[in-house]
Amino acid sequence: MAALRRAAAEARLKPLARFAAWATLMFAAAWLVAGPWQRAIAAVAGAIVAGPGRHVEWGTLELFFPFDVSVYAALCLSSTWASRSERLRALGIGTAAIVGVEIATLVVVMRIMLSASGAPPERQEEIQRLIVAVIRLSGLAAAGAAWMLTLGWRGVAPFARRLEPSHGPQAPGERRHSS
Amino acid sequence: MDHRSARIASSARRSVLVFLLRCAAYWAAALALVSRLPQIEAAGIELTLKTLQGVLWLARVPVIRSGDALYVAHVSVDIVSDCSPHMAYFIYAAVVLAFPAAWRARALGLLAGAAVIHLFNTIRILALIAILALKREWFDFAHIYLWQTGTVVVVFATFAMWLRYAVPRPRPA
Repeated sequence: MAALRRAAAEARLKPLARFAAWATLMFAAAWLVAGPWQRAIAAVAGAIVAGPGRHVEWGTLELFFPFDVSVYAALCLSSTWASRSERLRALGIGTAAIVGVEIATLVVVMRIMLSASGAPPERQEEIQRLIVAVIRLSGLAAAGAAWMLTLGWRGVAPFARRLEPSHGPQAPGERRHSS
Repeated sequence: MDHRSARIASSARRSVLVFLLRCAAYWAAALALVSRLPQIEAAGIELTLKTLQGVLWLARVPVIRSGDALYVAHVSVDIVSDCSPHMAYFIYAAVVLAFPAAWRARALGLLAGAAVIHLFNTIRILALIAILALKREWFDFAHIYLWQTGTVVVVFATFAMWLRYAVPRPRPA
Protein backbone atom coordinates (compact mmCIF):
# COMPACT_ATOMS: atom_id res chain seq x y z
CA MET A 1 0.00 0.00 0.00
CA ALA A 2 2.81 2.39 0.95
CA ALA A 3 4.62 1.48 -2.27
CA LEU A 4 1.47 2.24 -4.27
CA ARG A 5 1.11 5.61 -2.55
CA ARG A 6 4.76 6.39 -3.23
CA ALA A 7 4.33 5.44 -6.89
CA ALA A 8 1.25 7.68 -7.16
CA ALA A 9 3.13 10.60 -5.59
CA GLU A 10 6.03 10.06 -7.99
CA ALA A 11 3.62 9.99 -10.93
CA ARG A 12 2.21 13.35 -9.78
CA LEU A 13 5.64 14.93 -9.31
CA LYS A 14 7.23 13.62 -12.51
CA PRO A 15 5.43 15.97 -14.96
CA LEU A 16 6.23 18.93 -12.72
CA ALA A 17 9.89 17.95 -12.41
CA ARG A 18 10.04 17.52 -16.21
CA PHE A 19 8.52 20.99 -16.68
CA ALA A 20 10.94 22.54 -14.15
CA ALA A 21 13.91 20.94 -15.91
CA TRP A 22 12.80 22.16 -19.35
CA ALA A 23 11.99 25.61 -17.92
CA THR A 24 15.51 25.89 -16.48
CA LEU A 25 17.12 24.83 -19.77
CA MET A 26 14.93 27.18 -21.82
CA PHE A 27 15.56 30.03 -19.35
CA ALA A 28 19.33 29.69 -19.87
CA ALA A 29 18.79 29.90 -23.65
CA ALA A 30 16.48 32.91 -23.26
CA TRP A 31 19.02 34.62 -21.00
CA LEU A 32 21.62 34.49 -23.80
CA VAL A 33 19.36 36.18 -26.36
CA ALA A 34 17.39 38.48 -24.01
CA GLY A 35 19.24 41.72 -24.91
CA PRO A 36 18.96 41.53 -28.73
CA TRP A 37 15.42 40.08 -28.43
CA GLN A 38 14.20 43.01 -26.31
CA ARG A 39 15.82 45.58 -28.61
CA ALA A 40 14.22 43.94 -31.67
CA ILE A 41 10.75 43.83 -30.07
CA ALA A 42 11.14 47.44 -28.89
CA ALA A 43 12.24 48.55 -32.38
CA VAL A 44 9.17 46.98 -34.02
CA ALA A 45 6.79 48.41 -31.39
CA GLY A 46 8.50 51.83 -31.64
CA ALA A 47 8.11 51.86 -35.43
CA ILE A 48 4.37 51.04 -35.08
CA VAL A 49 3.79 53.81 -32.51
CA ALA A 50 5.98 56.49 -34.14
CA GLY A 51 4.71 55.95 -37.67
CA PRO A 52 6.67 56.46 -40.91
CA GLY A 53 9.65 58.86 -40.87
CA ARG A 54 9.79 59.17 -37.06
CA HIS A 55 11.89 57.37 -34.47
CA VAL A 56 11.38 56.34 -30.84
CA GLU A 57 14.45 56.34 -28.58
CA TRP A 58 14.29 53.69 -25.82
CA GLY A 59 16.06 54.09 -22.50
CA THR A 60 16.79 51.08 -20.27
CA LEU A 61 14.58 48.13 -21.07
CA GLU A 62 13.35 45.84 -18.29
CA LEU A 63 10.75 43.77 -20.05
CA PHE A 64 11.14 40.15 -18.91
CA PHE A 65 10.85 39.14 -22.58
CA PRO A 66 11.68 36.49 -24.01
CA PHE A 67 11.36 34.57 -20.71
CA ASP A 68 7.64 34.16 -21.43
CA VAL A 69 8.61 32.30 -24.62
CA SER A 70 10.99 30.10 -22.60
CA VAL A 71 8.16 29.21 -20.20
CA TYR A 72 5.90 28.38 -23.15
CA ALA A 73 8.60 26.25 -24.80
CA ALA A 74 9.09 24.35 -21.52
CA LEU A 75 5.33 23.77 -21.22
CA CYS A 76 5.15 22.42 -24.79
CA LEU A 77 8.23 20.22 -24.51
CA SER A 78 7.07 18.70 -21.21
CA SER A 79 3.56 17.90 -22.53
CA THR A 80 4.34 14.23 -23.06
CA TRP A 81 0.71 13.27 -23.76
CA ALA A 82 1.16 14.85 -27.21
CA SER A 83 3.36 13.38 -29.93
CA ARG A 84 6.71 15.02 -30.75
CA SER A 85 5.38 16.52 -34.00
CA GLU A 86 2.31 17.94 -32.20
CA ARG A 87 4.56 19.51 -29.56
CA LEU A 88 6.85 21.09 -32.16
CA ARG A 89 3.87 22.37 -34.15
CA ALA A 90 2.36 23.90 -30.99
CA LEU A 91 5.75 25.42 -30.16
CA GLY A 92 5.94 27.16 -33.55
CA ILE A 93 2.37 28.47 -33.57
CA GLY A 94 2.42 29.56 -29.91
CA THR A 95 5.81 31.28 -30.12
CA ALA A 96 4.60 33.37 -33.06
CA ALA A 97 1.47 34.30 -31.06
CA ILE A 98 3.49 35.24 -27.95
CA VAL A 99 5.86 37.44 -30.00
CA GLY A 100 2.71 39.16 -31.33
CA VAL A 101 1.50 39.68 -27.74
CA GLU A 102 4.93 41.09 -26.73
CA ILE A 103 4.83 43.65 -29.56
CA ALA A 104 1.17 44.51 -28.84
CA THR A 105 1.97 44.95 -25.12
CA LEU A 106 4.76 47.42 -25.87
CA VAL A 107 2.61 49.33 -28.36
CA VAL A 108 -0.21 49.64 -25.79
CA VAL A 109 2.24 50.61 -23.01
CA MET A 110 3.86 53.31 -25.19
CA ARG A 111 0.49 54.71 -26.24
CA ILE A 112 -0.61 54.87 -22.58
CA MET A 113 2.66 56.62 -21.62
CA LEU A 114 2.33 59.16 -24.43
CA SER A 115 -1.31 59.89 -23.59
CA ALA A 116 -0.41 60.48 -19.91
CA SER A 117 2.55 62.80 -20.50
CA GLY A 118 0.74 65.91 -19.20
CA ALA A 119 -1.26 64.21 -16.43
CA PRO A 120 -1.00 65.19 -12.72
CA PRO A 121 1.57 63.28 -10.55
CA GLU A 122 -0.95 60.97 -8.85
CA ARG A 123 -2.36 59.94 -12.26
CA GLN A 124 1.21 59.39 -13.52
CA GLU A 125 1.87 57.04 -10.56
CA GLU A 126 -1.33 55.15 -11.27
CA ILE A 127 -0.29 54.73 -14.91
CA GLN A 128 3.20 53.65 -13.87
CA ARG A 129 1.70 50.89 -11.68
CA LEU A 130 -0.57 49.81 -14.54
CA ILE A 131 2.34 49.65 -17.00
CA VAL A 132 4.53 47.56 -14.69
CA ALA A 133 1.63 45.18 -13.98
CA VAL A 134 0.74 44.85 -17.69
CA ILE A 135 4.36 44.02 -18.60
CA ARG A 136 4.65 41.48 -15.77
CA LEU A 137 1.33 39.80 -16.54
CA SER A 138 0.97 39.84 -20.33
CA GLY A 139 3.83 37.51 -21.28
CA LEU A 140 3.09 34.87 -18.66
CA ALA A 141 -0.65 35.03 -19.30
CA ALA A 142 -0.04 34.68 -23.05
CA ALA A 143 2.27 31.71 -22.50
CA GLY A 144 -0.26 29.94 -20.28
CA ALA A 145 -3.19 30.70 -22.59
CA ALA A 146 -1.34 29.60 -25.74
CA TRP A 147 -0.35 26.33 -24.08
CA MET A 148 -3.91 25.68 -22.84
CA LEU A 149 -5.26 26.23 -26.35
CA THR A 150 -2.68 24.11 -28.15
CA LEU A 151 -1.78 21.21 -25.82
CA GLY A 152 -2.82 21.89 -22.22
CA TRP A 153 -6.54 21.26 -22.73
CA ARG A 154 -5.79 17.57 -23.23
CA GLY A 155 -3.79 17.31 -20.02
CA VAL A 156 -5.80 19.47 -17.60
CA ALA A 157 -8.90 18.08 -15.90
CA PRO A 158 -11.81 18.56 -16.39
CA PHE A 159 -11.10 19.47 -20.01
CA ALA A 160 -9.32 16.15 -20.43
CA ARG A 161 -12.34 14.42 -18.86
CA ARG A 162 -14.42 15.57 -21.79
CA LEU A 163 -12.27 13.35 -23.98
CA GLU A 164 -13.24 10.28 -21.99
CA PRO A 165 -16.18 8.46 -23.62
CA SER A 166 -18.49 8.74 -20.57
CA HIS A 167 -18.02 12.55 -20.46
CA GLY A 168 -18.36 13.39 -24.13
CA PRO A 169 -21.27 15.48 -25.36
CA GLN A 170 -24.30 13.47 -26.37
CA ALA A 171 -25.72 13.66 -29.85
CA PRO A 172 -29.51 14.09 -30.07
CA GLY A 173 -31.12 10.74 -29.51
CA GLU A 174 -27.91 9.17 -28.22
CA ARG A 175 -28.31 7.27 -24.92
CA ARG A 176 -25.61 7.11 -22.29
CA HIS A 177 -25.31 3.85 -20.35
CA SER A 178 -23.85 3.53 -16.90
CA SER A 179 -22.51 0.29 -15.54
CA MET B 1 -10.17 11.47 -36.22
CA ASP B 2 -13.78 10.17 -36.49
CA HIS B 3 -16.86 12.37 -36.25
CA ARG B 4 -17.50 11.68 -32.56
CA SER B 5 -13.87 12.34 -31.53
CA ALA B 6 -13.86 15.56 -33.54
CA ARG B 7 -17.08 16.66 -31.80
CA ILE B 8 -15.65 15.92 -28.33
CA ALA B 9 -12.41 17.76 -29.14
CA SER B 10 -14.32 20.76 -30.45
CA SER B 11 -16.46 20.86 -27.29
CA ALA B 12 -13.36 20.66 -25.06
CA ARG B 13 -11.66 23.46 -26.98
CA ARG B 14 -14.78 25.61 -26.56
CA SER B 15 -14.65 25.01 -22.78
CA VAL B 16 -10.98 26.05 -22.76
CA LEU B 17 -11.78 29.20 -24.69
CA VAL B 18 -14.55 30.14 -22.22
CA PHE B 19 -12.16 29.43 -19.34
CA LEU B 20 -9.45 31.63 -20.91
CA LEU B 21 -11.90 34.47 -21.52
CA ARG B 22 -12.92 34.30 -17.85
CA CYS B 23 -9.23 34.33 -16.87
CA ALA B 24 -8.70 37.41 -19.05
CA ALA B 25 -11.64 39.17 -17.36
CA TYR B 26 -10.22 38.44 -13.88
CA TRP B 27 -6.73 39.54 -14.99
CA ALA B 28 -8.16 42.81 -16.34
CA ALA B 29 -9.91 43.36 -13.01
CA ALA B 30 -6.63 42.68 -11.18
CA LEU B 31 -4.78 45.19 -13.38
CA ALA B 32 -7.44 47.82 -12.69
CA LEU B 33 -7.25 47.16 -8.94
CA VAL B 34 -3.45 47.25 -8.79
CA SER B 35 -3.21 50.50 -10.72
CA ARG B 36 -6.11 52.25 -8.94
CA LEU B 37 -5.30 51.15 -5.39
CA PRO B 38 -1.68 51.79 -4.37
CA GLN B 39 -2.56 50.18 -1.01
CA ILE B 40 -2.40 46.72 -2.64
CA GLU B 41 1.23 47.14 -3.67
CA ALA B 42 2.06 48.83 -0.34
CA ALA B 43 0.43 45.98 1.61
CA GLY B 44 2.34 43.38 -0.44
CA ILE B 45 5.65 45.16 0.22
CA GLU B 46 4.87 45.57 3.95
CA LEU B 47 3.89 41.89 4.29
CA THR B 48 7.12 40.85 2.54
CA LEU B 49 9.23 43.09 4.78
CA LYS B 50 7.54 41.90 8.00
CA THR B 51 7.84 38.22 7.01
CA LEU B 52 11.52 38.58 6.08
CA GLN B 53 12.25 40.38 9.35
CA GLY B 54 10.40 37.66 11.26
CA VAL B 55 12.20 34.79 9.52
CA LEU B 56 15.62 36.43 9.93
CA TRP B 57 14.86 37.15 13.61
CA LEU B 58 13.90 33.49 14.13
CA ALA B 59 17.15 32.43 12.46
CA ARG B 60 19.02 34.90 14.77
CA VAL B 61 20.38 36.82 11.78
CA PRO B 62 20.77 40.55 12.60
CA VAL B 63 18.61 42.72 10.34
CA ILE B 64 17.97 46.47 10.26
CA ARG B 65 15.01 47.99 8.48
CA SER B 66 15.08 51.50 7.03
CA GLY B 67 11.91 52.40 5.13
CA ASP B 68 11.48 49.66 2.50
CA ALA B 69 15.13 48.55 2.69
CA LEU B 70 16.64 45.74 4.76
CA TYR B 71 20.29 45.64 5.84
CA VAL B 72 21.36 42.07 6.41
CA ALA B 73 24.69 40.20 6.13
CA HIS B 74 26.50 43.35 4.91
CA VAL B 75 24.10 43.81 2.00
CA SER B 76 21.12 46.09 1.60
CA VAL B 77 18.00 45.04 -0.29
CA ASP B 78 15.26 47.37 -1.42
CA ILE B 79 11.88 45.65 -1.28
CA VAL B 80 10.09 47.06 -4.31
CA SER B 81 6.91 46.19 -6.20
CA ASP B 82 8.54 43.19 -7.94
CA CYS B 83 9.54 41.73 -4.56
CA SER B 84 5.91 41.60 -3.45
CA PRO B 85 3.96 38.42 -4.26
CA HIS B 86 0.80 40.28 -5.26
CA MET B 87 1.12 39.99 -9.07
CA ALA B 88 1.99 36.28 -8.95
CA TYR B 89 -0.97 35.77 -6.63
CA PHE B 90 -3.36 37.67 -8.91
CA ILE B 91 -2.26 35.53 -11.88
CA TYR B 92 -2.96 32.38 -9.84
CA ALA B 93 -6.20 33.67 -8.29
CA ALA B 94 -7.65 34.53 -11.71
CA VAL B 95 -7.04 30.98 -12.93
CA VAL B 96 -8.65 29.45 -9.81
CA LEU B 97 -11.67 31.78 -10.00
CA ALA B 98 -12.12 31.14 -13.73
CA PHE B 99 -11.97 27.36 -13.39
CA PRO B 100 -15.30 25.52 -13.25
CA ALA B 101 -15.36 24.39 -9.59
CA ALA B 102 -17.48 24.75 -6.44
CA TRP B 103 -17.09 28.05 -4.54
CA ARG B 104 -15.90 26.19 -1.43
CA ALA B 105 -13.11 24.59 -3.47
CA ARG B 106 -12.23 27.95 -5.01
CA ALA B 107 -12.05 29.62 -1.58
CA LEU B 108 -9.73 26.88 -0.35
CA GLY B 109 -7.62 27.24 -3.51
CA LEU B 110 -7.31 30.98 -2.97
CA LEU B 111 -6.25 30.57 0.67
CA ALA B 112 -3.79 27.74 -0.02
CA GLY B 113 -2.38 29.62 -3.02
CA ALA B 114 -1.85 32.77 -0.95
CA ALA B 115 0.12 30.78 1.62
CA VAL B 116 2.21 28.85 -0.94
CA ILE B 117 3.02 31.89 -3.11
CA HIS B 118 3.92 34.01 -0.08
CA LEU B 119 6.13 31.21 1.26
CA PHE B 120 7.86 30.82 -2.12
CA ASN B 121 8.36 34.58 -2.39
CA THR B 122 9.97 34.71 1.06
CA ILE B 123 12.34 31.83 0.19
CA ARG B 124 13.09 33.53 -3.15
CA ILE B 125 14.15 36.81 -1.49
CA LEU B 126 16.16 35.02 1.21
CA ALA B 127 17.97 33.12 -1.57
CA LEU B 128 18.62 36.40 -3.39
CA ILE B 129 20.00 37.97 -0.20
CA ALA B 130 22.33 34.97 0.19
CA ILE B 131 23.43 35.30 -3.46
CA LEU B 132 24.06 39.03 -2.98
CA ALA B 133 26.20 38.29 0.05
CA LEU B 134 28.12 35.39 -1.49
CA LYS B 135 28.10 35.72 -5.30
CA ARG B 136 26.98 39.21 -6.28
CA GLU B 137 27.68 38.61 -10.01
CA TRP B 138 25.00 35.89 -10.12
CA PHE B 139 22.31 38.19 -8.79
CA ASP B 140 20.71 39.37 -12.08
CA PHE B 141 20.49 35.84 -13.47
CA ALA B 142 19.07 34.42 -10.22
CA HIS B 143 16.66 37.33 -9.81
CA ILE B 144 15.02 36.87 -13.21
CA TYR B 145 15.22 33.07 -13.06
CA LEU B 146 13.49 32.90 -9.69
CA TRP B 147 10.95 35.59 -10.60
CA GLN B 148 9.94 34.19 -13.98
CA THR B 149 10.62 30.46 -14.06
CA GLY B 150 10.39 29.87 -10.31
CA THR B 151 7.11 31.73 -9.97
CA VAL B 152 5.56 29.96 -12.95
CA VAL B 153 6.60 26.53 -11.64
CA VAL B 154 5.16 27.33 -8.20
CA VAL B 155 1.90 28.74 -9.64
CA PHE B 156 1.50 25.67 -11.89
CA ALA B 157 2.31 23.25 -9.08
CA THR B 158 -0.15 24.92 -6.71
CA PHE B 159 -2.85 24.97 -9.40
CA ALA B 160 -2.19 21.29 -10.26
CA MET B 161 -2.46 20.31 -6.58
CA TRP B 162 -5.65 22.32 -6.21
CA LEU B 163 -7.11 20.66 -9.33
CA ARG B 164 -6.68 17.24 -7.74
CA TYR B 165 -8.79 18.45 -4.82
CA ALA B 166 -11.33 20.47 -6.83
CA VAL B 167 -11.87 17.93 -9.60
CA PRO B 168 -11.49 14.44 -8.07
CA ARG B 169 -10.98 11.59 -10.55
CA PRO B 170 -14.14 9.53 -11.00
CA ARG B 171 -13.91 6.05 -9.47
CA PRO B 172 -14.10 3.23 -11.99
CA ALA B 173 -17.55 1.57 -11.96
